[in-house]
Amino acid sequence: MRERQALFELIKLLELSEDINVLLERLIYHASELMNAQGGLIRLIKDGNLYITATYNIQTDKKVIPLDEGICGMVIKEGKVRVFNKQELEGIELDIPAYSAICIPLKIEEAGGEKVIGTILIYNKLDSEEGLGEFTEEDISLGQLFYKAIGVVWVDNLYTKKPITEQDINFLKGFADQVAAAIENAWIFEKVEKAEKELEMLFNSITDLLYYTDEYYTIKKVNKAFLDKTGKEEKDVINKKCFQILHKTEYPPKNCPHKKAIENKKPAIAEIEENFLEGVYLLSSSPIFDKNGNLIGTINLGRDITELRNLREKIASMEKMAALGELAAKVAHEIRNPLLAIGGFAKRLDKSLQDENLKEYVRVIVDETKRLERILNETLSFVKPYYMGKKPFIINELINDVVNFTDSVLKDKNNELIVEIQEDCPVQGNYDRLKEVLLNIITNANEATQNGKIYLRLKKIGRLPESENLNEEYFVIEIEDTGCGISEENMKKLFTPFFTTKTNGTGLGLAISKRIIEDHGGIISVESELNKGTIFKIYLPVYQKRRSE
Amino acid sequence: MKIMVVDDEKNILMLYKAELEDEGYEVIPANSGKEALELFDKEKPDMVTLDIMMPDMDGIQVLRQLKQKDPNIPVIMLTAYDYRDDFSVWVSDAYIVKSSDLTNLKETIKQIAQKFGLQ
Repeated sequence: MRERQALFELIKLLELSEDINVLLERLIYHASELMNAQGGLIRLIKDGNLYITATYNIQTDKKVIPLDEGICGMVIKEGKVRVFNKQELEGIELDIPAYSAICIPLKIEEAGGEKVIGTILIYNKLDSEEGLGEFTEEDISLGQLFYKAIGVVWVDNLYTKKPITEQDINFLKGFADQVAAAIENAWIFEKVEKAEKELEMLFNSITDLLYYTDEYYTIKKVNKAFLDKTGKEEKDVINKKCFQILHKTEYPPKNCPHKKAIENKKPAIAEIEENFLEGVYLLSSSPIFDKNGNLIGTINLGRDITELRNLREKIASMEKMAALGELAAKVAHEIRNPLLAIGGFAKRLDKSLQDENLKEYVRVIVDETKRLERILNETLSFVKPYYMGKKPFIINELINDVVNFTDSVLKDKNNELIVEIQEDCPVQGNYDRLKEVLLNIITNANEATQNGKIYLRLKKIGRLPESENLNEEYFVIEIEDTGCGISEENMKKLFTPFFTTKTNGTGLGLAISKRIIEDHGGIISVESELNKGTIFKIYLPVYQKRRSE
Repeated sequence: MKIMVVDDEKNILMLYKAELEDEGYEVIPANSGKEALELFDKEKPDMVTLDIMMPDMDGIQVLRQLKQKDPNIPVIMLTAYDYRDDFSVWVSDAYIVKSSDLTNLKETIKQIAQKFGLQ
């Protein structure tokens, strides 16, 4: 019963242990103690040799021995349990002087049959004053029962001279079974651990968002890219609903492929624009089924295709523009000439008419023709690359010019223009084009503002933070209004051609402005808050006179 | 001063004629490139305004032939569309995008007349 209790405790230990070396050290210690033996050792096969992997109470120089050496070699070769008495051990090279021993091969089951993986050794029983024990035929046949176990046990009664009893053998048998199972478990654990680490590495190396969910949209596992993109920690994501994390909604969005995959039990793929994650994602969702074909979850892969889509849109818009350019040349000719005739003659009429009523009618014709011509010009200058000669000039002059020009328009809406100029800023550019930009933005500011203020500021700012051109110095023209502001939705489309919120606008003003500023090597940006106002910032490089050598 | 105005649209010729005559110029309207070349030899104008987009012979062809006949003849190109990136128009003396507001055209005529010493 002592043995059974000890065995029970040992098994518990074995099951808890994960490190194979710790496990074997414990094994050999417990085995020796329980057998009341002096000590023991375990050798395992590695690279065609037997290595000592664990010892208890034995000092030996023979850390590594060839596979065919000594009694361990014999046992491994025969694959059977062997019990040795003193006579049998004579002439065999041993780790210590030994009187008797039992060697058990450590075997594991493999696909191709059994495989010997090493040996277990226990020796020197200490609890008896009797003479040198010898193993009987019965002992040997009992030893055969170890055959299925994975170990070599070598028990030596050097001091105790007590023979190894049937009880000992029985204990060893049970013990060896446990050892084999435990070693196998530990090895499997190592393999699984390695495989898990590899899978984890693979999972996290994927730069696309990857996550598993169960069939109720509950996130079960996510990769590193997912956490990086959402800016969350694993604990804040696991067991949460994916739509809460990714879309910040209380239900899965209608067009979400994840929803389709779950509803149709088929893989689904779609492009999703996610404001909260700031981008367009190609989300593919594949259902996972159990053995019985029941849906148990989904695996989802989200790829950020924002850049790809922007590129695609750019190409589409370029194609559109090219087609439009061709059309524009024809339309321009067909429309401008009649407009010219209508407007021109209307003006002549205006000059010769005396009746004030008739004059007023004619002026309507003149004004409306002008408007049509303006729209035509804007459209044409957008679709056709325009000629742009650049000359150095001081931007301050342009600002003064623009201020004079806008004076009367501002008065109409009772807005005050406040000009703040810090210093002279020379620029290399096209005066008329830049004037167009400033007039455009000030006009917009004025239209958005009533009884308010419009600030026009000019200052040097040094280098642009994101600029590649580190030596270039920039100045900024800020146009700030206290008007109605721009909604977040409109903000995105602000510089898009043909986007307008005005009833009679062409939607080209800002698109053209942006192009002009970019053609000057500058940047135009905008910040806005609804009902507070808008600020446009135009960054342009300061003109540096070419340094004489 | 005699100005030949070339345009394929009769209404525009009529407008230009009226407006430029008001400015005190003598105006010779030509309704096509071919007519322009014929009238050029016959009337010997001091200046030419030339529409670019015309059927049969376009303004650029007319410009080349006029400059061959008389390299010193001032020519103002008028167009419905911006062709300034076309090198061939560079030999002209001015370039104006058509507009119902003729101020720009009248100003340009004055400037060129001054430059060429015309009365």
